[in-house]
Amino acid sequence: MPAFAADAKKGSAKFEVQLLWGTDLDKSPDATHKPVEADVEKKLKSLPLRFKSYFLVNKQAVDIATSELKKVQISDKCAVEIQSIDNLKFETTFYGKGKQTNKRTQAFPLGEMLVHGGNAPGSNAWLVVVKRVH
Amino acid sequence: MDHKNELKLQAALDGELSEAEAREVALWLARDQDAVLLQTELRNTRQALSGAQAPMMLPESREFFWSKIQREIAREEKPAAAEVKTSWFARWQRMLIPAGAIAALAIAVMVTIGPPAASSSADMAESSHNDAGAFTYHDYDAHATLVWLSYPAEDDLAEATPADTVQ
Repeated sequence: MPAFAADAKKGSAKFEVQLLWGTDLDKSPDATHKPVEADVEKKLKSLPLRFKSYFLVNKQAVDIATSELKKVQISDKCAVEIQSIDNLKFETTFYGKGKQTNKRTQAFPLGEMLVHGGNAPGSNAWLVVVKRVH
Repeated sequence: MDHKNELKLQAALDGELSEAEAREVALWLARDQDAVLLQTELRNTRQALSGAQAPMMLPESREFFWSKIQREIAREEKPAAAEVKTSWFARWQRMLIPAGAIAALAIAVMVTIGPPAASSSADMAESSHNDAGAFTYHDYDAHATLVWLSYPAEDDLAEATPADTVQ
């Protein structure tokens, strides 16, 4: 059965929201940071990002039932709202400093990843990854 | 010496120049030794060739020979002209029949396969930015989308505070 049909049947989805730090350094100066997961790193390499390394700052998982809306506060300043439209299509709203920055509606099959990113001091970057894991 | 001047020398030898041009070549030969040498060589070659080949004589006169060729050409052109005058309907028919066959085949394929599955998230994606400088990039193979915001690097938005922990 195609992934789409299976996802629709289940009626709920599980997402991971990850806050990453992108840098050209080999090692993060913050000891609490962990290396980014391999599958996420592989997808990041396919995107037009120039950073050498990515580090995992924070990760949260969330279950969303069909038509349900949930908000994930991934850092003090960044949040992501995820709403399931039909368990195949989801609307994600990204908030920065409390303000809505971007709203995107797209299909989110298993493994699909949406990344919001921006510049960070010192030629680094912050990235918020939304990934469907179930 | 360029090729144009070489041809002029040959033409002078063959008597094909006008009076003015022949006078010009004569003046040129008077001051250019290389030109004289080339003309001598051309003259010698011409003399060598003139004795080597016997002239070809046609069994009929030149005019009669060429009129035969002309008649043959005219005869071959007539059926080609006749072919051009096909009806417009026949021309359209020649075009429409294969086009119709292709259209029927395409419909048959679509009916068999059915509508495409929504396999690409980008096909159904809609985005609205509050950041005018933001751009979106989607990689179909990797199933990944990047929305890059253009806000300047600031500590407030970008800071990863020590309190953040990996769960």
